[in-house]
Amino acid sequence: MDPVTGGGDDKKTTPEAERLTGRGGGMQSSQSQAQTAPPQTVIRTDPPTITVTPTPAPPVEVTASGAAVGRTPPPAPAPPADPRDVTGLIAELGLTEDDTAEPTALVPSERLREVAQALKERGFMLMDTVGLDYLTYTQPRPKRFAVLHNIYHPYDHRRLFLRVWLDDGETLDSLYPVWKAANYLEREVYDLMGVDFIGHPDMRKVLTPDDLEGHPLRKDFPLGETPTLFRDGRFLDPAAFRAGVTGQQSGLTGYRGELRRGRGEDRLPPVMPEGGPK
Amino acid sequence: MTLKDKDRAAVKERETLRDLRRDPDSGTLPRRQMEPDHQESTIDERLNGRTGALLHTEMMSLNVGPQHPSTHGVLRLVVDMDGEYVVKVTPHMGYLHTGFEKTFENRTYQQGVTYAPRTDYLHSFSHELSYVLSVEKLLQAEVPERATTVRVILHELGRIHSHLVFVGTGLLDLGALTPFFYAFREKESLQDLFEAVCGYRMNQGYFRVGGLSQDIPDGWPAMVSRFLVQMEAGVKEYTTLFANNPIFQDRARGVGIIPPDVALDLGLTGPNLRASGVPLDNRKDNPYCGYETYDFNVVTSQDGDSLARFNMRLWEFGESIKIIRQALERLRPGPVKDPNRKISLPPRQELETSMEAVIHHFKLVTEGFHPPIGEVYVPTESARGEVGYYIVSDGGSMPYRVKIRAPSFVNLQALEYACVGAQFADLITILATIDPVLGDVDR
Repeated sequence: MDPVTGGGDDKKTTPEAERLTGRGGGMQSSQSQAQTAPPQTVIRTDPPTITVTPTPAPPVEVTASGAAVGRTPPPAPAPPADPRDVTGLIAELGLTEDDTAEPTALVPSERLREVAQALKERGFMLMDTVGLDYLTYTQPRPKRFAVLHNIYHPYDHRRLFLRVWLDDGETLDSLYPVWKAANYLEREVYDLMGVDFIGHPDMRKVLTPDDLEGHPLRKDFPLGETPTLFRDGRFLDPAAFRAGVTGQQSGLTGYRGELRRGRGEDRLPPVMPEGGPK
Repeated sequence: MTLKDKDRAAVKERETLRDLRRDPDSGTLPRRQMEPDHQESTIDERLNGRTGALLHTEMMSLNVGPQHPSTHGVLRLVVDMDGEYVVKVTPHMGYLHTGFEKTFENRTYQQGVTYAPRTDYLHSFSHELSYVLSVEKLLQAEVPERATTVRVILHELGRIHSHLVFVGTGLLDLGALTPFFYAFREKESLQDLFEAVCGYRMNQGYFRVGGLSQDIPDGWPAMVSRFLVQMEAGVKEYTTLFANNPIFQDRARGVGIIPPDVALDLGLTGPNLRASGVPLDNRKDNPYCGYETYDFNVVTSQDGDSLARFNMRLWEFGESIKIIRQALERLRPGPVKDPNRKISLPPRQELETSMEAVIHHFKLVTEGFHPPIGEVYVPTESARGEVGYYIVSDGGSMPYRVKIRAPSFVNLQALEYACVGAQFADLITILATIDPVLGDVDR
């Protein structure tokens, strides 16, 4: 039930056109425009040896275009011309691309370690591991859980997300043999999301207390809020009292995404009427 | 094996550890390896047949923390020691785990700004900025230029704030009490600036999705300029007083060396990685907030030891000051919020004249905006390394999932590597120069 309007009309109005497929659109962000690493000069100083990477020539124009992320009008680069484009790399590894906003490759769970090894040999590092639970997601997903490995190249700055779909109880190969960075990251996913990693040398909880049962970031883990009893016998349910709505509810207007952006005169502040306020 | 052989083996092993400490990459000895199992040592491991020696020695497990000043928060370390030398370090974290990620899922996007700065409470603006940038990318919000410039100024001031605490408390751990007061003199001035701009000395929550919560006060840029002059003098003082201090250098040089390949393998980012010689800086490499238009250098060092990590922060003071000076020159009057009424609250005076403004205000306050379905990640550079918020939207006005890429959490893994073979006093040095913030580790 909608907590604000009290209405139960929860029709999903999420047409496919609103999905965020930002690869070709204005969502390229500023990554595509960044310069390649300039040559280094070594300046001898007092200990320790400090290498200063000089700044490339300062760009000519300073406009608001560089200011807002995602607002930069795409300079229409052909995909292969962009040194950070990873579509070629994904094809090279024999993977399929996922259509989320970030460059993501779908990896079958049995191929994960092999793909990771190939990426490690190309010089990539492991930045982060994200556990996701799509139990209450508005759109259908292949499986309930996903584990995303955030892979990054520290020298040519390509970033790639490896997505593995998992069902409850399915295990995943640990990337600890490939990158030592996976140690805490996978322990965190195990602790908070309950995905077990095979081949991890030390699969223990890392953040939650030892006596906590369950995995708190799963969507079916209760929040633990206590309903408040008022003197007149009325209960206040914190979840219903909360302002925001999830994607399951339509909200006050039912608008989504681009429809919420407002058009025309909506975007400009209204003008004071002649003769002041009524 | 006779007892004498065992003695000899034990002595040999101890000498090996000592040699490793002096010269970690000597060809005759195997390179230090991080032990994969992080459990405390067993009684068998501790004794290891060494009880027959004339001098009765055994491995000792030493508990450090969680309530210890040099652990920089509530970090507990179980250190296995052979005499004065560290054999294994086992960090136990989670004492500060507050479940921010779960909380984010049950608050509207705009409310989330309150929680983001509380993760890294020393460089709060980095998390705040990273969060709003991700949501803005999701929403495709348009941030006015003035707001972006103020964000850059505060982002860099926050970096100075964090590095000041690093210089002060880091040397405090090494037994030098004076730097603490020098660094906190500047830190107090800096917190006055934060207080002037948004009323909070810590955990600001000043940014909003689409801009800033309010414009900066009159005269604030002049205050910042005055502070930068003070700060420059301060950096000179730190350099002459502490960085060139032979006692400090003896304790830091060659201690806790992390080679670049190991640093990348462990996922280090930020000054810790740059101290190992990898010039990765998201301000330069994945520019956000128009950082590509600022003139600054990425400082790196090839040494990878504690002294390099310490000097890295001292050098970054100067670069941050440079960026803030340029940003102050660019500061022009203008709006500080996205003009889109579906994202930003209307100004107060409009509510008296415009019904639309009242409706927008009501909807934004009761429900919040609905970003389109999608998943975004924007990397930013904090004082500790790469901060990024992986945000999944299901079309609701609350995030479906928020994953914080916390640099301290990943950087802390270097502790287990760098401390092996070092003395216990070096462990404190290494922990101080890795500079974890426990709020960032535990979230």
